This record gives sequence, C-alpha cells and structure tokens, in this order.
Amino acid sequence: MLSATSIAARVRSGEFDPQDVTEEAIARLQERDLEVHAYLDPDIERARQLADRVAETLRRGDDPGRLAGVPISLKDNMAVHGATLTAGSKILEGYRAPYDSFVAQRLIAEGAVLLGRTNLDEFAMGASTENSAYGPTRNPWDTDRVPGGSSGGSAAAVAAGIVPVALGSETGGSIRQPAALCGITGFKPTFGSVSRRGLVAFGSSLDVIGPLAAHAQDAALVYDVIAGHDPADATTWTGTRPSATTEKADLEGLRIGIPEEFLDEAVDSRVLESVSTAIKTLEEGGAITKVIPKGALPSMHHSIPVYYLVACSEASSNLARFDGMHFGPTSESKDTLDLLARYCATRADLFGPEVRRRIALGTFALSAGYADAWYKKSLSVRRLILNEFTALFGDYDLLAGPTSPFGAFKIGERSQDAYSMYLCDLLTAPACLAGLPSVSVPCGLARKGTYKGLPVGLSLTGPAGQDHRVLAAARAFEAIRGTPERSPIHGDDA
Amino acid sequence: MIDTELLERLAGLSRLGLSEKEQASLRKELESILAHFQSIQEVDTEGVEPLTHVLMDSGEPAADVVAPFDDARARLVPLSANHREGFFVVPRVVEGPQPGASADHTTVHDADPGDEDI
Amino acid sequence: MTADMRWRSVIGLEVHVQLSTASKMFCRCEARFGAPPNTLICPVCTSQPGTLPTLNGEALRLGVLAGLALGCTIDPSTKFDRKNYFYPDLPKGYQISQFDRPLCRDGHFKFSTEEGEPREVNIVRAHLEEDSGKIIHPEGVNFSLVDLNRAGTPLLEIVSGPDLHSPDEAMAYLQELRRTLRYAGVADCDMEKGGFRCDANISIMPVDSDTLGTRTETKNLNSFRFVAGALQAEIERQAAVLESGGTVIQETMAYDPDTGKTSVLRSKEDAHDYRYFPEPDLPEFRVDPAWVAELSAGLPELPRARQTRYAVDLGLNKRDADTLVAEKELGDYFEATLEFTKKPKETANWLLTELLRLSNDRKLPIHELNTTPARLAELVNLVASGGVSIQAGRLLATAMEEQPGQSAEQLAQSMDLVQLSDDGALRQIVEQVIESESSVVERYRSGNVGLLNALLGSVMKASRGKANPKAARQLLLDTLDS
Repeated sequence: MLSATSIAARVRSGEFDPQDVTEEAIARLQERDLEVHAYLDPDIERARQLADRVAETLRRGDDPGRLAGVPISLKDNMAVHGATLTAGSKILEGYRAPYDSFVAQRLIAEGAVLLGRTNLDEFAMGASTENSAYGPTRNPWDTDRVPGGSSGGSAAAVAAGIVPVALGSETGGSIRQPAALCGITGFKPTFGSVSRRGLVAFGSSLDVIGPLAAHAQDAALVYDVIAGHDPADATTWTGTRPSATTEKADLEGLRIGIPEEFLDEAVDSRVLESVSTAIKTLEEGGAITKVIPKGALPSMHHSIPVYYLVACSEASSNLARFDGMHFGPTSESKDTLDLLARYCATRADLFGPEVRRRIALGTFALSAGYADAWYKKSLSVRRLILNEFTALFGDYDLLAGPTSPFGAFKIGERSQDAYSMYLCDLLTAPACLAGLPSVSVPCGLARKGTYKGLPVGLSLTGPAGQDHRVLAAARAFEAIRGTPERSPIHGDDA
Repeated sequence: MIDTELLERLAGLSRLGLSEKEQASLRKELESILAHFQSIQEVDTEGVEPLTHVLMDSGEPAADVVAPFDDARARLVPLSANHREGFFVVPRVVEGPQPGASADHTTVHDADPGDEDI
Repeated sequence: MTADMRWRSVIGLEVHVQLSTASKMFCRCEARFGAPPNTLICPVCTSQPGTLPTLNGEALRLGVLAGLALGCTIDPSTKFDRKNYFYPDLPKGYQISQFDRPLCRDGHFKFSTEEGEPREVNIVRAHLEEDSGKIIHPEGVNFSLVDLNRAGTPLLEIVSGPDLHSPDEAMAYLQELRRTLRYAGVADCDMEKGGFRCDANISIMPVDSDTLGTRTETKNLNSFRFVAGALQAEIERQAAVLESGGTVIQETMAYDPDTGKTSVLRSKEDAHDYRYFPEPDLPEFRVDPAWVAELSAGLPELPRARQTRYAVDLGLNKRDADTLVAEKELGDYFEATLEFTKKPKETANWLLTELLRLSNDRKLPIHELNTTPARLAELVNLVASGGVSIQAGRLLATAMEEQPGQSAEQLAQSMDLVQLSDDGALRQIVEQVIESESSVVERYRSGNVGLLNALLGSVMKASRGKANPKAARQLLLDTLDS
C-alpha cells in the first residue's frame, strides 16, 4: 500500500488515474473486509463520484488538492451529507446525515476520495469495537483478536491495507489504542485544533478527531488538511497551526522524559520491552531520554475514574437527544402511546448495554447530592493532572511511554467485565484529560508472552498546540526504525 | 452506594426503560465500578478549581446575521419516524403531575390582544 | 373580611423576555414569530447528531443593556450551563442556560403603583438562555405536534426578589419592566407573540406576622391579566387552605383563565433534578468592562427619568407626561418637535390631540405619517404666534397630512384660515365695529365692562372668525380706552 503522500503526488502529476486508484481500493475493501469487518457501509457510489470529481478537476487543469485521489475512510460518527451516521448504534439505524462535518468538507476540498463508513464501539464507548451494535471488527494481525477501540474499524481498515489513511476520534484513547493494537500510527491532536462540527458527541470536553495511517508522514499530511479554526465550533482555537508536513523531522537534542507512572505494573512486560527498545531508537536519533522518577505525575493514578466520570457525565447529556422524537428510529414496542413510555422504550431498546451503563453512571455523577463528590471532584483532579503535565513540559519537550498496557486481546476476553475494559485507557486517558497532542507509533512486535507477534505502540505526548512537533517526532522515529511491520492481511505490498 | 431506589430514579431521569432484572444487574455493575472509582475521594483538592474547559482562548461571539438552512423543512422533518403536515408527531403530551416527567412548559394560553394597555 | 385583608402576600416574578435579535441564540436561523411550522430550523436547533452551538453576540449585547437598564452588575466573564430534562419541545434534551454565574445580578428597579406610590424591587439576576419549541395539542387525537421554529430563540430571564406585595403591584412592576425594556431597545415584549412571559411565585402570611409562608409557582403566564388573575387565585386558595387549618405545599401550579383558578401541576417530590453542569461546547466569553461602560453611556433615557423631566423640567401635567412616556416613539417624536418649537405645553397638546387622531384615522404609527416632527412644529408655531386660531389649526392639521408638499402657511392662505392679528386690517374692523355699535360702546364706557365680550363677538363676526381674539381684545381695549 503506497502512502497517501505518494498517491496524491502521482495523481497530481498524472501518473495515476484517480478512478483506477479508487477501484483498486474498492477491490481491496470487498476482498479483505470479509475477514475483518472494518466497514459498516462501503458507500462505494460516493467514492466513485468523488474520484470522478478529481478526474474532472485534473482535466480542467485545476489544482486537485493535497490529497488528490487518496482513498480515506471515516469513522461512522463523523457526518458526511447523505451517508450513514450510525455511531455504531441501533438508535441511529437508517439515519443519514443532513449536513457535512468540517473534516469531511476539508478532505473533499483537497481531493480526497471518501471510501466507506468504518465500525466503532457504540457512541465511541469502548476499547475493542465489540460494543458496536453491528458486530465486532477483527484485528488484521489475528482475526480472533480485537483491533482496539473505539476507532477499531478505521484502525483495521488501515492495518489491512485497504486504505492508507482513515479518520478516528479519541475521547479516552480511541485513536491511539487501536493504532497501537493494529501496528499503525494514530495521532490525537490538541483539543480544539480540529473542529468537532459533525462529530457525534461523546465527551464534549475531550473528543478530538485525528488520523490513523500506515505511514507517519500521512498522519501529518491529513492533520494539516483537517486542522483549523472553525467559527461553527466555538471550542476550536483561533490562530494558525504550524504545518506538520514541513516541520523538520529531527530528534536531535529533543528532551524526552519517560515518567515512571507510564511504566505502571499493570503494563504487560513484553509491551514494556518493546517500548524500551523504542526509547533506544529515539536516542539513536539524537534525543536525550530520561526516566522521570515516580512523583512527577501523582494524579495520573486517578485517570481512569476521572476520565470516566467526566466523559460519562457529558455523555449522559449529549445522548439525551436520542429519543425517537425528532430523528432516527423509534421503539417498535407496544404501549408507546404514552410519552414517558415512548422515551423509555426507545432508549432502552435501541441503546446497547455499555451505553446504558455509561448514561446511568453519568446521570449519577451529576445528580443532586452526588455531583460535588463525583463530577466536581473529578474536575478538580483533572486540573491537578493538567498542572502536573504543564510542570513537566517545563523540562521536557516530549513525554514517552507505552500507548496501551496490553497488546491486542482476544475477542470476548474483556467484554464481560466493564472495568477490565476501562483499564485499556490507563495510559491514554491522561493526555485526553489535559487536551494534549499525542501520537502512537508502531514500535515492533512483542517478542514473547501473551501478545507474542502482535504490535506494540509507543506514545509520544507534547505540550498543547505543539501538534506539528509531536508528528515530526513520529516521522523521525519511523525514518530511523524503517517501515513498520505489516499485518498478514496487509501483506508486503509496500 | 447505589440502592434500588436510586437506580430507579437514575433510570427515570435518563429515560431508560429497564426491566427489574436489568435494573438489578445495572445496579451491581455501577456499584462495582464506583467502588474502583472511590479512590478519587482521597485526593486533596483543597482550593483546586474544577477544570471544565481545556481551551486556549476565551470565546468570540458570532455576528447576528441570519443564515437560513436551505429547504429546512423538507430536509429535516422527514428524518423523524413520525411527522405530518410539517410537524413532528409525538405521543400526546398531557399536563398534570407525572413522576419524572417535565412539566416545565405548560400550555401557553392565548393572550388577550388588548391586554397590553398601559 | 376578604382574604386580602387578613393576609399579606409576598410575590416574586420571573419574566422570560425574547430579545430583539435577527437570528437565534445558538444558531443563525431567523428568530421570527408566525412562520409556517418547522421552516425556521437547521441541524443545530433540531439537535441533529454532531451539531454545536455558537453564541449570538447581539443577544449578549442586549442582555448587557437590559442588565444596565435594571441597575445590575454585569459579570466581566460569562459562562453557560446545561439544564437537563426531557420534553418534546426541547430537542437536545437539555437547555443551554446560565446557572451559577448569570450575566447580570444585584439590580434595583423602581416603579410606581397606579396610585403613584413609589416602589423598588431587587433584581436578583438576569441571565441568557434559549427558548424551547412549541407543542400543539389538536382536539380528539392521541398525539401532539411539535414545531421547532421557536426553539433556540434568545431569552433573557429576569428574576425579581420577593419584593412585591399585591397583584396590582405585580402588574405595575411588569408594566414598568416592559416599558423599560422597550425603551432600552432590548426587546419588543410583544405578549401576543410570546415575547414576554411570566412565572409568578407567591406565598402568604398573616398581616401581623414576620414568618414567611410556603410559596407556590405558577408558570408561563403571558398576559398581565393572567398574572393578576393567577396571583389572586393563589392568594384565595392559599388563604382557604390556611384558614381551614391546612398547610400550603410547595408546588408548581397551572392557571386556567377560563375558570380563574389554579391547580397543581407538579409537586415538590416530582421536582426536577436538572443536573446543571458547565456547557462544554461553549467557552467563557469576556464581557469587557470598557465595552459595558460604553453601552451604559449609550443607554437611552429611561421612562421614569423621562417622565420626571417632562413633569418637572418641562412643566407638563401628569396625564400628558404619562401618555408621552408610555411609548418611547411618542416621547421621541415629542422631543424632535420640541427642537423646533421650544414650547412644551403647546407641543404636547397638539401631539396628543391632532397627531394621535391622524395616526388613528390613517391607521399608521406616528413615524409613518406625512406629518413629521418638523411639520408638526410648523403648525404649533403658527398657532402659537397667532397666525391661525386653534380651531383653524385643527383643520390645518388634516390638510397638512393630506398635502405634505405644502407648507403650513401656504395651506393656511389657500384655505383662508389666516388669522387677522396685524394692526392694519384688524384695526380697521375694530374701528368699524366701534362706530357701528356706538350704543354698546357708550354703555361699556359708562362702566359695563362685561360688554367688551359682546364687542369682541362683533369683531369676530365682522372678520368672519378670522380675527385673532387676543389681538382683537387688546386692540378694542386700547381703542376704547383712548
């Protein structure tokens, strides 16, 4: 699978025909997705129309854009006008978005060919994509295993070599964790650097859209295209975002700290081993690395409760609009002539168990009598987490560590115990709570143990607004280490 | 931490029509999860302001310029399962004491036209 | 003894005012009453998945203006919160409002009762929020219909302290509040269109007691008559409860204007847990104190100040001052005319009689008449200078409205309304009358001073009504006494 950067260059130069590129991607989708189920809807007609448009632009002699002809898949929680927007849920079955998300507009304007709607945990709530109401996605490295979540479909689509890039969203780890489990690059931008307009909201103060890519430079390219201030999203910050594509990919002199809190005993030892090797690679590149003794990020220990309490509180409110009254399906149960019954039946029948769990948890945390001890308390601890990161960035340019405590676990392994699934976010949630830019880069396969032969991800986190520097470090790392290992389904086609 | 009554209230507040069995198992799950979360109570947050927005700017309000959504009725109303003559159709809204139901919006009776005499 | 005599009421009012913006509070749909159902909607105000709110800057400005007009302190940084509950006219399942940090607070508002007694009320807070949609309940079917045109319209909720003590006081407060908001240009307060709605909180206590009673709330009263009716109904109901030995329960009531009675809508146990939390989709907004100071300086003169100025400085009588102040446009027109006439009483007179009559006859608001302030001033000045008589002036007013191309003088000439005031022609007539009425003159000169009026009448008759009576009288006196 050629990189998106390469495809775009060749489409622009005339070497590649955009319609051929698209047909090849469609063929790969139809063949490989039978095993993987990364897609909820291949949405092939739209891809062909967009490819035609690129071809037409080229015929006219106009600039077809930075992503000309590149097939990109979007997670099915990002609105594309006329496409499905299930958010992995039955409560949006059959619903088609009446408008475009900001990211879709940006991609299309730069000539991208949107191919298919990828699978996700329902409403982005999960770390394995097993919570999708439409069946799980399988990891291209081992189809008995999960691809991670909630952007499991996007990660699997890229790891299977169907498309070079896909978009995912992250609230507690949903871009980086599946990227790590699938052996690809996944980047979570600074909160507010990419517009959330058109993203089905889960945890509004946490949600960020970002790229998953087989080549680190593609993550940078797509980031440059989708990042920007959007007047329709009041939480995007004004001002330019420096280009991630042109930023010098150089590790020389970079001060990289590895907080001991990231090397938690909950992390699998083989994962740690791969990460240690990766740290050495960073040093090879000229970075100055240092393990930061425990005590610099003491509040990180509470990331899971803080993340879940904040995210679920916001989600309990964001999901109130799904009531079967103004859009989407409504409950088929009888006795729904009564207003109250209609609300209750629709939401009980059409929301899955994890979603119901989180709505209940969030409702609890915001309830009178409990809000101070749970919601407000969490927000105070959240500020401590932010402060601790800010202090560290006084001395370090980047913070490194494993992305996920585990490699790809088996389907069904964690799905019976909600809390065991929540632990997947142990290492990713802190950067989400603080709104910091963070990338996961593939750093090899576990040599032995439970996750033998499965990918491990190295996480690099930077200060707010330094998205370009974080992506530059990822590009530099990949340049030193070489092309990452590819999944069996992806094969060796570059 | 979460008794049956509280769970019932939470289900009511969030309009989740759970069966008794479902409520019972949800209650257990939440209790278990909250037991894990209890640790945050030990953190000293004296004088620490809650962090609700990790934003970099304070906001800029938008200009008050009308920008209509083209063909709004034709494009948006049919997205609902029940609609007629341009309205969204919902089960009969009845006013009166209803547990958990909102009665924030009583019927607005027609005002007397001549009522604004100064 | 009526309920009113044994019990004292304590009343607080919450008023929801629709602000005069072009677009909605959190999206740019048009904010307009009366459009066909669901035509003024968009993905944001219909809560489609993935949509986000953006704050209408004009709503913020009008909110600040209102707060200033009510004497409030304005928060230099304002934030929004979500108020969570389910209702079919609230598509998001939450309302974006302001909870713990309202835009405006701690204001003081003065008004007068109908009898002219001064009162003051605390304005506890005024905050911004979005309106809900509308639900219609057709007869005889088991469904209701929802129209979201109104959903998202900007509202300012103004909360008074429990400082009112009778339904009449409540009405007077509401009327002054409405007038003030219209003056400040903040809101039209058109009650027919739902632009000014009131929730009334009331408790009663024995006249000789200091202990506050339990209060009830009656919601969504959108006419002054309903407010007064609901309050009165509650006073009587609560009095009956207490007199029979019962206790008043804190409840939400509904008022039925047809029966004139209130009934329970929702009891405290069913009261909502709104789970307020800060709106994550909107940052805080700075409300620059320098900007607020500018707005404050730019506030127009408010009704009570204007009323005082008219009565005290300009010497108008109370009734005229009241009428001129009732609507800002009337006072503005008055002052514009005054620029040219410098005669407050005469100007007020002509405005309140002839101009309003023309407005009525032509069914046009005064600023749409052909008679502009400058034109009215011409008429006022012409009459005041004695150019035409008052009766002639009335005819002239109509003519001026119908023929805007002609000046007052031109019309007076062509309609032969010019009053004789100059010495020449008038002197001639006076001398003629004195000569022809010699017997009357003699009797006057011998002490019957009342006969002056008869002579004056003859002068008027001889001049076919065109003599300026004052000038004629003076000339007669001068001539007769010489």
